[in-house]
Amino acid sequence: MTYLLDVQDITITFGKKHVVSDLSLQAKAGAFIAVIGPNGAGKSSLLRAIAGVIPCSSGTITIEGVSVADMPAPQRANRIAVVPQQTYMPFGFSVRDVVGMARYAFRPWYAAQDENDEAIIDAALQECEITQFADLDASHLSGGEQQRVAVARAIAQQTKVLILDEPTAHLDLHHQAAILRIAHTLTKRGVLVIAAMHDLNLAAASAQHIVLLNNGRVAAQGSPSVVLQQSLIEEVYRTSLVCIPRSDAPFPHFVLAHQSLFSTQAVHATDSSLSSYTPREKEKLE
Amino acid sequence: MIQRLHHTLRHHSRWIMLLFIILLGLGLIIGLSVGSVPLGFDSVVSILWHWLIGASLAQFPSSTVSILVTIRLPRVLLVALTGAALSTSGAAYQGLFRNPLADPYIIGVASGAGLGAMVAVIAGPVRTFGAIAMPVGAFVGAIGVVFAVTLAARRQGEPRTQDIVLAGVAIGTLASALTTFLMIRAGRQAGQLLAFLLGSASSVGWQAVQIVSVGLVIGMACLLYVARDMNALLLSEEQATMLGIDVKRVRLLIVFGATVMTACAVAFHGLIGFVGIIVPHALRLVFGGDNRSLIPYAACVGAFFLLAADILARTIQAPIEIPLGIVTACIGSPIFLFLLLRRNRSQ
Repeated sequence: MTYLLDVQDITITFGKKHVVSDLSLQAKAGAFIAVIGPNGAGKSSLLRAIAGVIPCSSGTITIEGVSVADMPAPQRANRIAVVPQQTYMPFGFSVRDVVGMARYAFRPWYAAQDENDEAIIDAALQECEITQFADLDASHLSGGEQQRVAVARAIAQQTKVLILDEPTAHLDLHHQAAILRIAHTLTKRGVLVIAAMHDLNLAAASAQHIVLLNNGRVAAQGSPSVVLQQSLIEEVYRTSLVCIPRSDAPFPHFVLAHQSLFSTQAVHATDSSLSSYTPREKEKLE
Repeated sequence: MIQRLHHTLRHHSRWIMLLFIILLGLGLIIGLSVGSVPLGFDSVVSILWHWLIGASLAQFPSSTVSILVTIRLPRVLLVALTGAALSTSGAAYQGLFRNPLADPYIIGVASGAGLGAMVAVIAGPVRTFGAIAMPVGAFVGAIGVVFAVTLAARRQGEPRTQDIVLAGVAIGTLASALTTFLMIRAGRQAGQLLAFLLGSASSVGWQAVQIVSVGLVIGMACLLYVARDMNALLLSEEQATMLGIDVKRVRLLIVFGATVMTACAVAFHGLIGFVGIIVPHALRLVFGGDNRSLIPYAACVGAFFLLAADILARTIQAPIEIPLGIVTACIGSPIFLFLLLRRNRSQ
């Protein structure tokens, strides 16, 4: 069986700390993979390594059989698009300009966008429901709107792999659903979507495959019904949860238990997961 | 409304460029006419035309030809080239550091170039190798400051605005202090060196024009080559990488191009502040931030701005000439403070 993405035994190291250890993951085209886990579990580091932004100290990551580490930046941009956790929009660029940056890798430095590029940009704007903002300065938009601009830019790259780092973080409920709907539409077109997510229920509803990370190691991976076990989730997240069984899905709906909101013990337990790191390393991990 | 203006202006970029070139041409003619011996526009245009096509200048008074071709033309051209170089390098440093307050003067690069040029004058390379040693010395000084600022402002992730400005101020001040020390030690040359540091353009020749022209062409070529990629770099280095940009190469070309231009400008014109911040900032407000148009616009408008400042410097207290750096500082400081306050309020 050929995989679009093949991650083999990777370890990612910052200084002397292993941020991700011995992680393997294979995914086919058209899959939706959610990476979940507490803060500092290594989700963003894993996604950044797959995107080729940070190197692995051991192991390999290949896309269509080609090592990500060996791909020149333009070649990588033709295969992998990334929506980062934090988006920054520079002053003086319209939304259309920012989305149009997705086409830079497809044109020589001196060439202007052609009609095909324009059509791709229009479609991406429409898909993310930001056509009405197209000529506005992107830096003047709200955080949620900027997030949608970043998603539109990633779509306009027309890659086979789309990486979303907490894609719903700044969005209201309507746009959370819209972004995940877009991700699903892309999977139907054969795009492999990998998303780091904090909302377990959204992750369960969106993904066919979930990777649960804890302290840089895979605590569990598989279908949502396999991974989303109450005891396992409570142990990894070090907090109490209430599970509401669902009639429409083989996995429950998770809600924070009342006592975990007010018990200092639960909070301290969560913080202790980072206690072995120096403040500088914590900042890096977070 | 601003967005609509950007949108409209973008569709007329060629006409705007043409307008800027015409304005620059007019500025040059005015600059050539003004001086202790006023020359009429018609005679300036006529002499220039004959000189450009290589025709005989015998029909014109030899003193007028001499003033125009030997004294004013190199001076005015050097002022325009310096304005273009400082303004364009300001736009480039702002893109490089993702910081609208970065300018060759603010981040200390100009002071480093001044120190380098001063060392080249005092220590002997200029006597040995001629005028070319000045921009080379200035380049060494400027590039040293760029690396020092980058190292000092380095932190986890990308450098912060305030770190770059503070590091630039500290390193620039040190470079200025060393320059002043060298100047004091220079004895009889001190007055001449002080005029150079304050940005006086009163005694320049064609060789300086040639050297700065070459520096400007090299710098502009580097910056225009990476102008599109600089747009992506404004998002962040990581996002630019993900968009397929070779960030290391782009950064290197920006540093090289902008520093060559700053070094050439400072080597023959001393320290002229704020051109690199006022012009790109104003252009960004009106035309948007796309570096593909910002960089050529900055070159034209920067040249025009410094020509206008030079005309002021020569006419405010005529026949006494005020150093150009003083005029630009008087215009630039309030604008810089305004930008700083507005930025602080918006944050």
